Amino acid sequence: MWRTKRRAPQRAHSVERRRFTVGLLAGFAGLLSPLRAFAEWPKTLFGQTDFDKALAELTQGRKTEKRPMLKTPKIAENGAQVRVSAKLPDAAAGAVSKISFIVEKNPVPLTSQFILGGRSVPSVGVNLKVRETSRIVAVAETAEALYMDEATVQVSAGGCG
Amino acid sequence: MADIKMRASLKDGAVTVKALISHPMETGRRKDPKTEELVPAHFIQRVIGEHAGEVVFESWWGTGVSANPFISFTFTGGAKGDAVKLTWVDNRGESGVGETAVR
Repeated sequence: MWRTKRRAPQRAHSVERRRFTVGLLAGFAGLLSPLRAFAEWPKTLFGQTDFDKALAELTQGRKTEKRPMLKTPKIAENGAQVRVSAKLPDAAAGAVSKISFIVEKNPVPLTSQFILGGRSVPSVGVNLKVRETSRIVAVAETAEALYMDEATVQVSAGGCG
Repeated sequence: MADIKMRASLKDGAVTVKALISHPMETGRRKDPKTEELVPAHFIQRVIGEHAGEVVFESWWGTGVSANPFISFTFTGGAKGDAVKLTWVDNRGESGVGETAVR
């Protein structure tokens, strides 16, 4: 039974899914051409100092689904080097086009984005600066959905007053 | 200064690359303790991983990545002995390249 606002089947090109289709096409273009042809370094996103705005710009109003993928330490003695990683099941390989790490309390919340291609396995890691105890959010993007996971990292008082 | 330590290892059909890049990753908000002046921003913006002439990985960074950053990523289609190349470019247009063989 369809409700009034029906959920389009995965491959359907309904109007509300147009944005997804555009993303899908961009994804295919990305697979055909080298990754170098991807968009420029996102200057505005990396200049955004507000966490909520950064997240909104990243998700573009799309709904996010909770999916476990983020691995962080619970406590970091040194906020200057905090190892975070994100790993999605191998079944998602090829489908994930981008993984972003956002640290809520950092002056610039968006820290890094990983652009994945057809041969990429959705498993990436990086060391981040985490200025103070903060929520860390990982967002993984596929043509169909946005997956999100979060964790809180406690940063012990360090020498960086 | 442009030094990359990297390792690429094959496991279960996928190559995992781990790399340490020497870079100050200055945010532009830190003050020099001696002169009290802001140290200008100097950070890596792009890191590109290549295998067999194909870009298999790209990453965009802001100032929130640690100094002397560590990164790891994984791709399929590589074999033992293959060359893997890593290139970074920072906001001053400086760049560095590292290369290693898959093992």
